[in-house]
Amino acid sequence: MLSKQAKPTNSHPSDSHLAIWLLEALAFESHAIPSEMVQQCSQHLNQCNQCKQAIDKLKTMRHEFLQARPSHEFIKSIHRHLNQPIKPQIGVGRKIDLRFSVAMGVLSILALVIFFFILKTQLPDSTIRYKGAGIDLSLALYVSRNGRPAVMHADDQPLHPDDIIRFAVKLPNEGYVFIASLDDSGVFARFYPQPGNQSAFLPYREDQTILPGAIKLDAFIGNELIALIFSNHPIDEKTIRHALNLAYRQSKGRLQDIMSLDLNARIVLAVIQKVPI
Amino acid sequence: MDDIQKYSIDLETVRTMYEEFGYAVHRRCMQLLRDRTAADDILQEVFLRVVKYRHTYRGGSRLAWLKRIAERLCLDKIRKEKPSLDNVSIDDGCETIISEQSTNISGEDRSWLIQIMTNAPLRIQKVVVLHYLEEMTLEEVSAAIGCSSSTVKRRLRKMHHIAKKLKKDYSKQGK
Repeated sequence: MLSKQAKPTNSHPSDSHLAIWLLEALAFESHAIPSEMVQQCSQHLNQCNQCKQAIDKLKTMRHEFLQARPSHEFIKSIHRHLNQPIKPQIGVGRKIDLRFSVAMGVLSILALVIFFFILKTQLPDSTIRYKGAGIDLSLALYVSRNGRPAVMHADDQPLHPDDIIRFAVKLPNEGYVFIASLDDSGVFARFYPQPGNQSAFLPYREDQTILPGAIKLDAFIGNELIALIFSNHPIDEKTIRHALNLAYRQSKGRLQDIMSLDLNARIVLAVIQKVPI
Repeated sequence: MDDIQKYSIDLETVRTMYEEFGYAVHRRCMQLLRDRTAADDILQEVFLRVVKYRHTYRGGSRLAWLKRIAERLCLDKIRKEKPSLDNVSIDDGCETIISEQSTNISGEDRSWLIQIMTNAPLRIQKVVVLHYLEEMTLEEVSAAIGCSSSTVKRRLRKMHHIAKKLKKDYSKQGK
């Protein structure tokens, strides 16, 4: 018991000395050691000065330890800890529940982000404004291609012949709306109202108004200026056509250079590009 | 009844236990953590647990009971902090443990021992601590944990497998 046997894994590190656990037990808890073992230890200690010194050293170290960390200070700190408000214990099952909840929360947020991203591409977005548009006045274009549902047209995407387009407007208040276009060659076309030869009255709505009627684009290839004209009074088509033609001439046919129209109205201008399929 | 009143009797016992065994527990924490501040924290936690979970004491050596609590806390701490073996050489560290030739664990070897223990199940950890840190014989370990010597041997062999696997992993990483 006191010294290790011959087997490698069963041998004492320092063959003829007491094991650490026994040295500690003799130094700190000798009353707990069985009497027959104490006898054996005593015999060994009578012959082994090294183990005796080791036990004395452990006792000295404990004395020094207690001087550096007095028991009354230690008990005070235990008092302090016990007096602290008890934090609710979270068991393993609860931890798993919490982890599951966190994971579900993250997934829900992710799903919402994806949902709003899709919604953003599908529904009118008042933040997309064309030239001349303000926060309260905007024009949006929806495109349906090859029989697929209409999606909002992105500014940098070209249109193709046979695309079917619809318009949505956001107005600051009730008023009269006219939407026209002018292509690269200066050809005028009316998009809204259909039919009608002057701007049509629209009531105020908090969200965007999708205008009735869809337009199938012709085979023309090139740029096309689209103008939304909003006013408090009706304006006839002839006046609008004249203003667009004047702006076309002044810009020498460069549609991108047209910044406004000579009309007593608020104007939103957008240039779209039509390319072959 | 507040907490201090509830524990007032136990705190006197704690004082006695601290005076008798505080140093030995701290010594074990230092062996495993090699960090005085961390060892101080664990020492306090050990005695807090003694107060709170005194009903779990099943008799026998109180010193051994305290050391087992300390070992559990230290190994949990080590596992959470994932100790680095960057500065420990395989030749000096792992071989001694793998060779099964000695229980005399030097400071550097102990880094490996701790690493192995954090990768081993609790039943193996117990055997490793008693055999390598307490320097118990297989018979003494089996008596201490209440199982046969062959079980102790099997658990030590498992520990050697873990050591070999760790060595292999670290060799792959070019250490």
